[in-house]
Parts: sequence; C-alpha cells; structure tokens
Amino acid sequence: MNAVRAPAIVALLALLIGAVAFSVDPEARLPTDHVASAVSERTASDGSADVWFCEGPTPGAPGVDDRIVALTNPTEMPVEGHITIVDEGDHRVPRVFEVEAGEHIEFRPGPFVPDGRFAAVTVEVPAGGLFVDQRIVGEASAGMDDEPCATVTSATWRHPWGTTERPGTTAVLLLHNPFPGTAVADLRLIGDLGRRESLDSQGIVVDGRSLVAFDLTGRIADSEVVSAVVDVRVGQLVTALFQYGDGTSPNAWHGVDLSLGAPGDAGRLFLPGPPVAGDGASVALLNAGDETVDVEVVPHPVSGEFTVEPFRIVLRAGRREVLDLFGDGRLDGAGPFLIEVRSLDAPTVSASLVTRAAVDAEAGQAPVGLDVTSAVDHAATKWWVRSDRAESGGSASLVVFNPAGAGIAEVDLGLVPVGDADEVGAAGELLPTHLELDSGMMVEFALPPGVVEIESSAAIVVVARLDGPSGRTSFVGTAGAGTVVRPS
Amino acid sequence: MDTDQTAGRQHTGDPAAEGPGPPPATPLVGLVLVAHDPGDWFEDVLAAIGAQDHSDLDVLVVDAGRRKGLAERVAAVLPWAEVTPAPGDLGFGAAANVAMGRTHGGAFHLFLHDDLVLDGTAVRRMVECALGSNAGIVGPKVLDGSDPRHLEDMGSWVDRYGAAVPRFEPGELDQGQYDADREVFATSESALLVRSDLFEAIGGFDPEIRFLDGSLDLCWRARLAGASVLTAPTAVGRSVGGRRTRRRRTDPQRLRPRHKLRMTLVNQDPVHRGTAVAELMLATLLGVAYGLLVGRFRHIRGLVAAWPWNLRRMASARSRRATVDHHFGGDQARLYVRHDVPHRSFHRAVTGGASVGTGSEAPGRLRLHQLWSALLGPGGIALLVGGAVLGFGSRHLLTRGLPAIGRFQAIPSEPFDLALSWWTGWRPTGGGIASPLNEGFALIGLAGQVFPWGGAVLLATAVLATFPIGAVGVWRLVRPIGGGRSRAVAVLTYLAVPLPYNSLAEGRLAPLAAYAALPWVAHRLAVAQGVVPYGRKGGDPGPGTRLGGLWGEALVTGLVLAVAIGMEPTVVVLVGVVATGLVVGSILAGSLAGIPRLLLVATGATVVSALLHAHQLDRLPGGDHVAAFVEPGTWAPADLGIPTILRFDTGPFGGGHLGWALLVIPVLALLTASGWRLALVVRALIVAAGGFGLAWVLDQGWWSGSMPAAELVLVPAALGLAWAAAVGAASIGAGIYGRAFGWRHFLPPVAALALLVGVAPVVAASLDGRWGLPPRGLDAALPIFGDEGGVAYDGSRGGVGRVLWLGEPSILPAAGIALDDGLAMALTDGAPDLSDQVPFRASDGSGIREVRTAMLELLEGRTSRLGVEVADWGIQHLVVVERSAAAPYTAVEPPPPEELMAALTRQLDLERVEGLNRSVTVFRNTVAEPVHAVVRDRTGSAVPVAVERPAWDRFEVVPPVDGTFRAMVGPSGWWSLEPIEGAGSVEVVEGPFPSARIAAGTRAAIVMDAEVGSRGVRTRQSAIVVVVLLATSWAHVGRGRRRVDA
Repeated sequence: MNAVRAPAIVALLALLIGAVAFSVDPEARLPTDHVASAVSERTASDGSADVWFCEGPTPGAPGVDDRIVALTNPTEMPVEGHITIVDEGDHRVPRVFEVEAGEHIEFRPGPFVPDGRFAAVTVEVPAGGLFVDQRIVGEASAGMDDEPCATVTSATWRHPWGTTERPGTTAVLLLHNPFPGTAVADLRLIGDLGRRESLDSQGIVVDGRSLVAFDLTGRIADSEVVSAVVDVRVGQLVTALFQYGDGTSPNAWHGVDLSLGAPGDAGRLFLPGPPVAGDGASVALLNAGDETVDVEVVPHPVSGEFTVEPFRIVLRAGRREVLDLFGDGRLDGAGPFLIEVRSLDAPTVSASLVTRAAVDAEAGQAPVGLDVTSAVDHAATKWWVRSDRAESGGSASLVVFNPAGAGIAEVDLGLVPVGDADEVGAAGELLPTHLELDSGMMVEFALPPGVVEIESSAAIVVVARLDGPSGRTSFVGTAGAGTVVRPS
Repeated sequence: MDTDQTAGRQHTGDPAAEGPGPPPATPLVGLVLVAHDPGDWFEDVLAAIGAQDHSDLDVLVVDAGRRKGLAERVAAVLPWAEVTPAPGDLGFGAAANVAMGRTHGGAFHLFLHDDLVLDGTAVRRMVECALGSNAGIVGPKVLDGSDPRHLEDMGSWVDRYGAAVPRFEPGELDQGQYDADREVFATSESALLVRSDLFEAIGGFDPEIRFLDGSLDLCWRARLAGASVLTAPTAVGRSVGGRRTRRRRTDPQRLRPRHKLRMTLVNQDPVHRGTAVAELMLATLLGVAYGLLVGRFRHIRGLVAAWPWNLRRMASARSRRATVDHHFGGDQARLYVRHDVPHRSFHRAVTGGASVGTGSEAPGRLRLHQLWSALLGPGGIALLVGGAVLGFGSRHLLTRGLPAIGRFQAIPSEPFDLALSWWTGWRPTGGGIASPLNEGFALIGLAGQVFPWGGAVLLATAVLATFPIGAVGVWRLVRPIGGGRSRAVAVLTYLAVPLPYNSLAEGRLAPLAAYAALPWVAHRLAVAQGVVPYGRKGGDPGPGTRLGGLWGEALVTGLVLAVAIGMEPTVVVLVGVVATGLVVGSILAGSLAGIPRLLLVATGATVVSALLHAHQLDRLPGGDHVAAFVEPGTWAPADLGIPTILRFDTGPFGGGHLGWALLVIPVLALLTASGWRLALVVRALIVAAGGFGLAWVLDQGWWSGSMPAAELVLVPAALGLAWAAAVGAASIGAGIYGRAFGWRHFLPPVAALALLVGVAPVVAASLDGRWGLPPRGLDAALPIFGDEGGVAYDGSRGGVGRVLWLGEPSILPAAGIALDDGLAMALTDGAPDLSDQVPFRASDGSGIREVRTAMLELLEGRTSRLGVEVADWGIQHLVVVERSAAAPYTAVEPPPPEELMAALTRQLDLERVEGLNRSVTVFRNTVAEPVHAVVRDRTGSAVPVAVERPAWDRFEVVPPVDGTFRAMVGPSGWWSLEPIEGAGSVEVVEGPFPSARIAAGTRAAIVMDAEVGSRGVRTRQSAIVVVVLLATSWAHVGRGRRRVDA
C-alpha cells in the first residue's frame, strides 16, 4: 500500500500553527474591576429582594431625643415587607408594612422596645424597590445624624474613630446579628495607650437575631480616640458605633453620631466632600493588619491650579493615627477638595473623616456638630440619596466624585417624586440634570429635599452633607447599580 | 473370540505380480471398495490397491454411485477385481455389507472408501498389526492428500453421547506423536480392516447409518464384543478428492445428531442408555436455544430431526441391539470414557462444536496456550508490567475503597436500587427526576448483589477496571500491526498518558469510562474500514484480524458502540472524532480505500446503537440535549493553553515537561514509516489531532454549553498517540541494520528513552498505592450526613432530609446543573450516592427546577429568605463545597464564587453550621419542612410523617395528625397516593404531587405510576437488545468470519 507523508505533515503543522496563532490571550480574561457591594445598596432590578439593617439608639440612650426610620418607595408600585425590631435585651417585635407608590413612611423603633436603649431594625423587602434610612436627633437640639441603613453583613468591621473622653462622651459599639445562627465576635480596641483587650471583648456571643450594645466608654475610659476592630469568628454581623458628646469633654465634642463603619480593609479609599478650612476636620486611619504599612493621604483640590503635597504616614500593625487636615496649613486656600487614602503596602487600611463645627471661643460653648463618615473603597454607576429639607439657616449639598483614573463620567440627576408632588417639583428645579465629570473631579451643589437619583456612565461616589444649627451630618449615598472596587 | 488364522485362501491378486509370492501363511483379505461416483483420483486409489505388497487380496468394488462407467475404470486398472452394483441408493454401510457372506474364506475384510490412496505396504501392515495384537479392527494412519505432512485421521475416541473425538487438532503435523498409542475407540473412517468372523458376529455396518459414523458404530459394537480396535501407524494412506462431506453433499450437522442418538439407543447398555437419552434430550433443548442465539439453524434442524428419525427406526434399533445385548453388563465405561469429560461432552452435544478438545489439544486450552504465548511476548509483558504497576499503584484503593470525591460516591446500601433506577427511569436525585441511570450503573448495581467484598471495593474495582479494559482494548487495536514490540509500546503509551490519573484525582467517571471504551470502538471502526492491516484493502491483513461482512461489522460495531454509550453517553462525540480522524487521515495519506465501507458501517452502527438506546432518544424532545448527558464543568477561556493540552497536563497528576516524551514516538513514526504503516500512522495522528483540536476549541471558550472535562475530550488524543506509537515501534528501526550507519540508527534508543521518560511519572506515582488520591474524601468533612438515624436525617421523621450542594461542578459530590459560570448545584436525599452521579437537566424534575429557580433568584439578589423558597422540597442543609476532599487531604480546591457566599450569608433563614472542616460551608435551613408531611389545618405547620419504603417504587406513610398529607417527590405526575385497603379513609387531592386529606393513623401508600416510568421503554430496549444480539451472533457465525492468526 502506498501512502504519502507530506500532506499529513503539512496539515498537522498547519493545525498547530493555526492553533497558536488564534489562541485566546490568557491575560485578556482578567477583569479590571472587582464587583463588590456597598455598605448600603439598593438593588436596581425590579423584584429584587432587599434587606436593610438599621441599628441605633432609642430615646432611652444618652443624648438621644428621637430616632426615626424612614421607608421610602420611589417606585410606581406599592411595596410590602416585614420589619423585625430587636433591642439589646433580646426583645423581638415583628411587623408587616406596606408603602404606597411614591410615598414614604416613618416609624420610631423606640416604642416597640420600650425597655431598650438601643434597637436594631431589620427591614425585609421581598420585592425590593424600597430604600431605608434613619435619622437620630439629639436631645435639646444637640446634634443629629442621617444615615442610610446598611444592606451588607460582614465578618469584619472597622471603626477608626470614636472617643471616650471624660467627661461628657459616650461611645457604644452596636453588634447586630440578623441571622438565625449565633455569631461570635472578637473586638480589638485601640485607645490612646495602644491596643486594649479584655476578656469580655473576646468571644462576644451575639445570638441569632439579636443586638449587643458594647459600651466602650467604661472599658476604654477617657481615651481621646478609640478605634474598634471587629472580627467575627462565627457568622456575620452588622455593626455601628454610636457616639455622643455633650460638649464638656476636653475636646468639646458636642452632638450625636452613628457611624456604620467599614466592612473590611482596603488599599485605596475615598473621602469626598470634606469641609473647607475653618471647620475642624481630621482623618482617622487604622491599620488592622499584621504588618506596618505606608499610607498616603492625598488631598485633591477641585481646582486644578492648586497642588497639595500628600500626607505620608507610617501605620504600624494594629495601630491608628489621626491626621488633622488643616493642622499644618497646607490646605489653606485650596478650596473644595476630596481626599484619597492610599496604602503603599498591604491593603489593610480603613479610614474615617471626622468633622466638627469650628469652635467659637467667644461663644464659650462648644458648637453642636459631630460627624463621622467612613471612607469608601467602592464606586457605583447609580446612586440614591434621600434627604429632608435643610433646616432653617442650614444647608444641604450633594458631592459627586469621579474616582476613575481616566475617562469622563456622564452623570444624569433627577428628583424622584415622593410625597408632596408640588414641593418636589419646586425643589427639582434646583438640581442640575446633567453633568460631565472628568476623572478625579468632584462637584458639589445644593441638595433638594426628596429622593435624588444619580446615574452615571462610569462609577462615581456620591456623598450628601447636611449642616445646620442643630448639627451636621454627612453620609455616602445608597448605591443602586454597578458597584465596583478599584474603579478604573 | 476364536479366530482361525489359517483358514484364509491364498489369492494372487495381480496376475502380473505373480511369481515369487508371499508366504502361504498370509491370510486372505477381502477388500471391499465402496465407490460413490469417484472423481479423477479413483485410478490412483485403484493403482494403490494393485500395488499392495499383500498379495492375497480379494478386491470387490461396490458401485454405490449413479454414474456409469465405473466397471470400465476398475477394469482398466484392476482387471481382476470384481465389480458389483449396490442395490438401490445405499450408504456406505449398507453397500459395504455386501461383503457379508462373501468372504470366500478370507480372514479379514478391508473396507475402503473411494478416496483413500494406500501406501504399498498398508494392507500388509494392518494385517500384521491385527495378527500381532489379535485385534478385531485395525485402521491406517490417514494423511492429508494435499499436504501429506499433516494428519487427517488416526482414529478417534468417543464421548458419552457417541460423538467421535479425534485425537488431534485439524491441520496437525505428523511427527509420529500418536504412533505409540495404537489403541483407539474407532479407527479412521476411510479404511478399516475387520476380522471376518467379528464382522459377521456384530451384524456388519448399520445400514441406517448411510454416511459418517459407520465405522464408529462398527468399532463400538466390536469393542462391546470384546475385540480391540487399533490404529496401525505404519499403515499409511492419503485422502484424496477433497472433503468427503462436501463431495457427497452431506451435512454433518444433520447426520451426526441422528447417528449419535441411534448409537446411544443401540450400543449403550440399558443402565446408561436412559440417562444418555435424557441428557441428549436436554442437550437438544439447549442446543436449539444455542442455535437460535448464534444463528445456526441447520444445527437446530439436525438436533430436532434426530428424534423423529430415530423414532421411525426404533424397530431396527432394537434388532441391532439384539445382536450385542448379551455383551452388555461389563465395564461399559472403559469403552468410551477415556476422554469423556461430562461437561465437555454435553457442551459438544449442545453446540455441535467440532468434536475435538477434551484434552490438552482442546481449543480452549489451545487458546489459553496462545494467550500465554502472547503474554510472554513483548506486548504481553507490557500488559503484565502495566498490570503490575497498576495493581501496585492501586493497592490501597482496591483494599480500602475510593475516597468520596467527585463522582466517586458510595454505592447505595441497596445496590439493586441502581438497577431499579435504570429500569424505572426515576432517581431520587433533585427531589425526584425522570432521568435514568446509564446501563453501566445498573450493572454495578447487579454486581453489588453478589459481590462479596462490599460496595466500596466494588466501586474501586469498577473504576480501576477502566485502566486494564482500556489497555487491553489498545492491545487488541494494535495487534494487527504485528509484533509484540508495537503492542508493548502502545499499551505503555496509553497507560502512561496522565489523563486517567487526572480523572481519578478529580473523581471523574466519564473520562475513565471513555478511556476504557474508546479503544474497542476504534478497533471496530478500523476493522470496518478494512484497510490493511485491519483488512485486505491494500495488502494482507495483520494477525488476529477477523474479516466479516458489512452487516456483521455494522452490527458488531453498533453493539460495541452501544455498550460504550451504556457506560458513558458522551463517548458518541469521541467516536465521531475517531471516525472523522480515520476518514481525514485516509485522505491525507493518499487513499480513499475503505472510506465508503467505514461510513456505511459507522452509519449502521449508529442506527443499531440508537435502537439500543432509544430511551435516550426519548429525552431529545426535552431540549437542552447537551446538559442531559454532560454535567456542567468549569473551563475558563485559555485556562489550559496548547502546551498543557499537548502534554495532557490537565490536572494534579502530570509529569510536567516529561509529558512531551509521549509525543516523540508518534512523531518519529510519522517521519520514518512507509507503506501501509505510514497510512496508519497518519490516520492515528489525525485521530489524535481531533482530540487535541476538540480540547483546544473548548479551551478557546467557543462552546457555551455544558463544558465537558478536559480529560474526556482528550481521550481520542491519547488513543491516537498510542496507536501511532504502536506503528512507530513497528517501523522505527525496521531494516536499519542492513544499512550503513546513519541517523536512523539513533531512532530506536531515542524512542526507547522517550517511552521510559513518558512512563516514569506513572511508575513514580504508583508508589503511594493510591495514585495521589486522598485517604478520605468529602464525606470526612460531613459527619452529620454519615450514619443513618442521624439527627438531621431521621427517616422516621418525614423521610430523608435533602441536601443542596453548591460549588464548582466537578467537586460536588453529585452531578449537578449549572447555575453560573463555575457554579453548579446538586440536590440529594441525604448523603449522596452513586445514583446521584449521572448528569441530568433541570427540566427532568419539578423539585430541581424550582430549587434552581430559587438559587438563581438568590444569585440575582432577589431573595433574602432562600430557606423558605426551598423549604417545601425538604432541603434541610445547603453545603457549599470548597474542596474535593476534606482538609488537610490533597484535593482540588476551586473557591466558590464570592457572590454565592455573600448571598448565602445574607439569608435570614439560613444558619451557618460551625465547627466543620474547611472544605465545606454548611448552612442549616431553619425553616425546612419534611419531604413527607401533614400540613395541619389550623396552624399550617408541616408535621413530619413516618415513612417506610418497602419497594423502590413505593412509600408507605402513617400521618400522626389529621390534615393534608403531601409528599414532595417529583417529578410531577409520577407518584400518586393510594389508600391501603382497610387502613382508613383517604381523600385524594388532585395535584402534581401525592396529596390527600387524611386522618391520623391512616396508612397510605405513595406509588410510582406504572404508565409514566420507563418500564415499557426498558422492556422494548431489552427486546431490541435480544434481537440485535441474535442478529449480531448470526452475522458473526453465519457469515463465515475468518480469523488471521499470528
């Protein structure tokens, strides 16, 4: 039998060469952005279930006059759901609710758990559509805090800043376990004297569907700054740090604040919208890792003509630093700016922006206003922000920031009609409908009352800031879609 | 018997030879030559008679034929011989009987067929033998006339049913090996010298035995009379004229059964006669079945016709028996039992097989000898070494069982459930699905019924058996190439490929099944093509080749393909790759020979296998065809890359760059082979290229459906390389020693070195005795699912709680359905077992479909209470599998998607179970309901019901409270609730699942609807199997397949 060799060799070589030539590049399959969840995130698709976790004080807590949880339905369909309210005494109260289309309802958790000083509210919305936030009002107009409720649980939480100065401050760490299984958490508390641990801060058992209020004031007494690291051994938690100061402490902290903290560490964080010079503003940096990291705090003035040298800080393992932004004057005259925190080593950093009204020495009284905002490591293409009308003499503003390294973000804004249509219509006229934000740029404008929907072609960060005679508060909006870390 | 040796008459046979005649004491021999229309050779026969040196011959030629002119032919050669016509159309016996009463004083009759040419001394030596040994009957040694080196007849022995058992194999060389033992039961049929008085005393030949067996009957009767029967090895004759039965147009299959029965009736003593007849009757029945099975209809006809034939001749049988009646009662057994082994005699009676082989010359033993010879050759030694390494490397797996990783899950506590699942088409997987198991699983279930060493060892044996099955398949595939070296290289190459070891390490069944099956199918396809060395196209077929007809090949190939599909359905795709490779390879090699035949046989085989697996075709209308047979897999684009594919380095087992060594011999074969070997190596390499190409295409991400394992699609590549390597071993270095020293002289050592390097990783891996598999599997991480009666899985509380398994598909302990890229789910009743390991679709069951919907909602963030969503289906635990085996054992460790873990941890009704091995994350469903429950009227709570399962297709329940009973057993419409008579009132509620209003304590049964299961399909399938087997057997036997021996 005669056979030929050449065609087979040619065919096999051709197959091999063709395969090599047309092979997929393995590098091409690496995603550039990591999908993530924001601390507060309302799922965009209709019909998606949302669960909101709202922790906070009741009027029984020191310095708190009221706490209001608001359920807002910006959709065109009624929304039904379940509410479970639980206090630190393990009293649990379930309720069902319905919010009509375009309406919002408010309720106060305190009356449901009259014996509790703190209460956690779990809002289940099987069909989604709702978003949930809460306001804490200090007694005798001693501050206020607005904050969207959380939608994530995590096994790690970071609270870079708190204070237990004596006299006149209260700091309570709230640990909420909304799940049926028991959770066990370890706390690492870092005071002025370094890391502080006690037997009762290790292996804290948080029963299923319960709330534990861990009082820092007594345990880390008289510490100018207390940082809390929560590592959950078993299960997942939602944590919040409640802070109250009556203005009598050495640093004259005056006001109430509830900070959700950060559900983990990161290597790159954003703090948009800090106040301009004149107010007190500092950044608390926490390294919860096991290795020392070099950190840069980079202010980005909105005005491109002004360059600010970054703050360089060495953060040892398990330590925190507080950086006074206006202490060395390098930001004087910089105008509006935003802050980026970069870890040059391991991504084990968390940060909070602490702001307060400037102390008026002549007034002889500490001004009301304490606000702690956790830095975020994520951005999103859709955001929701709800706010009430700014109080008389105060202001409400919205900060939009494009953290990408390149590219323009096309941003569309709109006011969703909720409640009084006429009022909404009037307020909406103040809102720009379209923005173009270059990379690294930030814009700030007046925030009308109601629900603002922000949609962008690229991932952005949105922060709302309310300031007034009864205090100040700022919060990151509720993400709606396209949440990513390492936005590029 | 008294014999007067001096009574014979001196007779000068040939007047021309008169002169110095033999001594006067020479006895007269009356030679009776029965002529039946002899051919041209007859003159040689006559001349040989005339040339005998025994002068006292009285020659009588009996003309039993129809043609005229015999007398003239005789007269022309032996003018002194007497010619007499036989009255009527007589057979040999009746014609020979004319000698009776015509002895003319002769001491001996010599009965001769017309096709035996005696040597010149044959008669004298037979007479001398008879006189010297006082024998009653003496026969000559008969040699093959066409090749006198071979023996044709030296007498025979007989078994208990009267079947002659020749003393040697057909075609055996005459080396005097049988000369020493002269005693036989019957002499050769062609010539027998009988003492005259003995012939008269025993009544001569049986006239009813017209042809064949006449001498046997005569000798039998002579021995009954006390005479001895001998073969005179120095008396030699040559048979001429070709095969006598063909010439006489007689059919031994028709005659021999009737003769056996007649001889039994006549010659057996009364004690043994009844037993023998009864046994023959049984043999007839079995023989008919056997004949039907193998398509030997003439054999059937012969067996059946023997009985009326003998019944009609009972009177003559009695008459004949009367002549030897008085001789019965002695030691009859010694007459015939020399080589009588009852089961072999019975086997011969049943099969009508050639009456050889009760001793060392038995075909079975000869085949055994051939097998030993083959095993002691290079190919056999390779097999043995391979077997030894495999056995050594598998020693812990064989003794302790396989770890529960991937698809290697335990055989059910009732192994027969696997067979029942196959039969009914229902499986408890996924909450109950209409998806049958493969036939291979059913066979394991059947084997489990009788396997003495437990399910774990059975599973290990079944899984590890794929290695030797594949190796033997390759051994057979490359056998026609010739040479033990080529078989050795092919077997070692196939065993050295990392593919099966990676499949083992990853707990994959499909690649192992394909690894075992594909060589056998490829062999059938190669034979179907019929190109040298697998057929006559282009040259002489190679050793071991069986040449069959087109239909026979289609049937056999279809059967082999069907068996392969029964083991692993996806092998169909691989067979397509092989067939395409053969066609394309043939074209590239420059020849179209055999391609039409290959395509015809492949088409026919496809039809046959489709018929045999018609139930699988029934599933096609359900859509999602690939998912029905291929479980979801994870294969990211460019995950492997070309070098990894070419080295088969797809898993934890691999030789790294040593894997390149396996390509050396095939490449050298392509470069050095010539002629048909080059054509074959091209075909083999194109087959390999098909496998590699398929893997590359999948690696590019061009396929969006269920992704098969890389090991599975690479099986054709492994086969092609082993095939090409065999050709390489046969061609590399061929003829180099006749050439001047050059580069070709380096090829054999290079090839040997490459083979050694390629095999080395396997040898090294065999040292641990478990091929790198962990000692324990995933079960070690889940003690809560282990023992029956555990808290979570108390069957007395609403049935076994279900477990939802989530993770990368290959490490799930059950076959799953895809949820997302790299994520699949499987649903099992409690701990998974082997019945959960076959792929299925979401559409095959209501439960799995609903649970999948819930899971998709979870992944899309559309639910915060997954537990509630799946509670109805009795899902008590959700297990996210993160490693294929419990930590810290070696395992495949694909992390679960972060989104999954995030979503699960956010569920408000799932409680994470802590304190478990890190290979799993377990969530307890805090709101799970029992599978079998009564929903109470007022509270709506689901109360567990005690469940018993008396049969595979039946549950019996006794509700503890009043309410609405419901059993969440899918698929919808398959199960119905029936009241048990006298157990109380049950008000059945119509619905997709068994449901009824029922009072506390009322016993009710949940039964599988006989109409919806696959029992009918299986019955049809079994019938088709029988028909195809019959047809295959008929084609195999009836078409006269020829085997080319090595």
